[in-house]
Amino acid sequence: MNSKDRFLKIKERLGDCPDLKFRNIRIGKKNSVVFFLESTSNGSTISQFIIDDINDKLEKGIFCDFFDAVKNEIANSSLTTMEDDNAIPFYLSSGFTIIFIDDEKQFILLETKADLDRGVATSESEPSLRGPKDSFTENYAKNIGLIRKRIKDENLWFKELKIGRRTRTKVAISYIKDIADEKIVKDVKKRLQKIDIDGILESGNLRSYLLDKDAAFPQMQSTERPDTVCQALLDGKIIIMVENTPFTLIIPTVFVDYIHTPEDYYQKPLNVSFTRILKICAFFITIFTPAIYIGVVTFNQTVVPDELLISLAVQREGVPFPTAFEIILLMMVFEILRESDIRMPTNSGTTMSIVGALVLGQAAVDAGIVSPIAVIVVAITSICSLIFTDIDFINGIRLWRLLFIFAASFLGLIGVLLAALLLLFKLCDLKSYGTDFLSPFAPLNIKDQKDSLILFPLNKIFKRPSYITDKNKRRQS
Amino acid sequence: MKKLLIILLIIPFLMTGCWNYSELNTVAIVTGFSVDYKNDEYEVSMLIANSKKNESSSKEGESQTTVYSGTGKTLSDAIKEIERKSPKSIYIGHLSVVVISEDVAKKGILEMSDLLLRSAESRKKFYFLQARDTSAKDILSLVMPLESFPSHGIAALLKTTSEAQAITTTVPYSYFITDVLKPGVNPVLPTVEIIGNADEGRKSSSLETTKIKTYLKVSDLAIFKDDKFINYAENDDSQMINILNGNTNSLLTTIDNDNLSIGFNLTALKSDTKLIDPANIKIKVTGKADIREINNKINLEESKTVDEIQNILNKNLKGRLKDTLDTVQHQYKTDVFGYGNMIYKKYPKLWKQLENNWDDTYFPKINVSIETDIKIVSTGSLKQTIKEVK
Repeated sequence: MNSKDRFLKIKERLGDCPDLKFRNIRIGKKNSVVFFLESTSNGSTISQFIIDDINDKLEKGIFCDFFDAVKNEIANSSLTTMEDDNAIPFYLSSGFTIIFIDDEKQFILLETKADLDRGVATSESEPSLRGPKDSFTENYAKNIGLIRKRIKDENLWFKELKIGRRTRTKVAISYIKDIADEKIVKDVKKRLQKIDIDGILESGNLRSYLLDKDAAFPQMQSTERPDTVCQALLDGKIIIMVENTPFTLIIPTVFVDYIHTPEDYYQKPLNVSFTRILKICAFFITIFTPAIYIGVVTFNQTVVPDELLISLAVQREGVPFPTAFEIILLMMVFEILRESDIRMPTNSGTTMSIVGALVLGQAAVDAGIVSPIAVIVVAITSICSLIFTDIDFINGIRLWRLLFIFAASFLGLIGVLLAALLLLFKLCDLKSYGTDFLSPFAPLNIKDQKDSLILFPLNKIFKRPSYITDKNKRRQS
Repeated sequence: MKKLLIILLIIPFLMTGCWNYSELNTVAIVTGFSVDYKNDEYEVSMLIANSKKNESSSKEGESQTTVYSGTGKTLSDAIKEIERKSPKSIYIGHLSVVVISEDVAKKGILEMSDLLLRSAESRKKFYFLQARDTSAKDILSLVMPLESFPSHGIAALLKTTSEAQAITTTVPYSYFITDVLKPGVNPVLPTVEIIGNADEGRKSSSLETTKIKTYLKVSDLAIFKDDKFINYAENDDSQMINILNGNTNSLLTTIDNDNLSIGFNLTALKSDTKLIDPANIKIKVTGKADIREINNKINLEESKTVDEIQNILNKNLKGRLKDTLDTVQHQYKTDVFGYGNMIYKKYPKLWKQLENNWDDTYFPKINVSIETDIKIVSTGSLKQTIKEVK
């Protein structure tokens, strides 16, 4: 078969794309075509290690069988041969250089990927004070490298899948074989294999395929820090890495994982325990404060101490809106402020804070549109919710807070109580791959309390969390 | 089916239409309440704490107060009249002080006490007191220095005087009513009087001088027989009644002996009352004393001297307690100590016979022996007296 014709067919198939470059090389009586996508390949690698090599060998005249010679003599770490022309577009997009040779059914694939990624940088969404600063990047191989670098164990296994009819995105399930629960691995794999969609762009795309029911609180932690991922692997968890995104999914995830940070294990345990308790308090404050305020001010005034009630009443004097509406209004303004702050380029950030703090805070109170205490309530609520790093968790809290506010504005403190019961029921009901979301508190496991709310010194924690895996329980002797 | 069930469960909550809903700026928070009795009608006054924002004040929480009054045959009639005057709805959940006038007390308290007990909104833990030589309304409307909430001023005044000086006793309303209803106990009430001109004291401008001309002063206890007021205790009697009842644990007192007078601060006062038999009662008062002031030469370094002073103190206190007891037993003839209640608990059958004539016949006859055991624990920062050193 004529290599030139074969190439033209491919070219036509790709829509005569402008970044497809080729070169004809004639060797003896045989023609060959070397072609690649300029946009995904590294031009200098191709000139230096492929074209140069072939020319070199041509001059020396050592080619008897051209195909074998190219296959064996060209210096490239990932050289393969193939027959199926249908696979060519995938490999071209992945940055391979392909060589067609006349009358040769097989063609040669040489990896000449261009470096389209940024380097390993510090994490912006999960910054740390103490501990490694590196974070995952969009480069899949580099990400795996960052894990391998940390866990040099033969039992660290990666199972790779390609998902997406068009994107052909690589997805890896990774776990430590003799620790992790392989039932979960199988389950995850089965679920991923079932996916038949045109494209997967981010690990978040997979979320709904991996869960049976969606709850406000995320049953899957996502992180861009390699040390968080490695800690999870060592605990017996399973991670899912997706090509072209720094965010990695961790399953199973329980409530306390959102209270913990990887830094916890690098700092003094006593101080860490304090921080964790603080975070739990912040969790309750951020959910309950606006609801309790509404309940107390509009229904159950009796529970407020005398001086405070009079002070509240005087502050509310002249405010035109009902308390519940006032709070919802302010909460909404804050949420809008936060959302626009995330999307806004950093250099306009100062304008934002001036507008937010001065106009909404000070001026609204002075104008008598909202009462100062409502601003305080919303401010406390917002600050406390920002103590958590996982955006899904923060948004879950936001949803529940809204429910609490509604319950309180209809039924007062009784409504708050009912909503709290509902929250408790829902959290108890929630499961992440067979693990109860509230473990190790519900069901209570005394032994696991060494690393839940209170952190014991690391040399006292002998076992892995029992709610994650029951294999290979001992972590240290 | 499941969805229908959930909807059915949610609907009753939403159908209540915000039951009990009231915005804070639509209620008038009543912190003080007074009852007068004039021309066969009750006059009720209410002190409303959140009348308006004080514009000149930099502090947000500060507020001015307003007093509304209404009259009627019953308390609720009077309150109805107030509600017609007040632009905001009356809320008595945070009532902290209730003042009654002498006339109301003489008429009998049970007649007016029902409303405040029955109201679900009221917390029943407010201070209950009586106005002396003035109307209860005047006490309520007096502007007080050092306090931004006038009604709290009265409560704070009662609290400090009962804690430090044993002159009054703080009586939460529910305790008072229990005392009225208990067999064999008669209640006492703290009283407050106005020194100066009451009309002057209502103006907030009266606070602009450093020397306040009109002010409230805690006065002697009002002694009750059943639910009716009979007399005021003398100053020393108030303190002694409080000690005997165990209502106070500290007392400031001065003891004169020859030309020596010593000021003591008695603390940790405890009175232990024992019913030996229906006719004999034994009381033991224990406590600690600090010396606050000595005006003459005396050597405290010798333990003998301290012992001597201690003896004098104990004897003096015992005498005063005895005097008070005699006065109450024979002059007022009302059992404010609750001895009858002790008999009721220990000898219920006997009590049935005594019950009807207890205060007038049997209580004065009861034989009470008092023992005092006060120990001087501290002589202060000085070992000797200043006069001695000179």
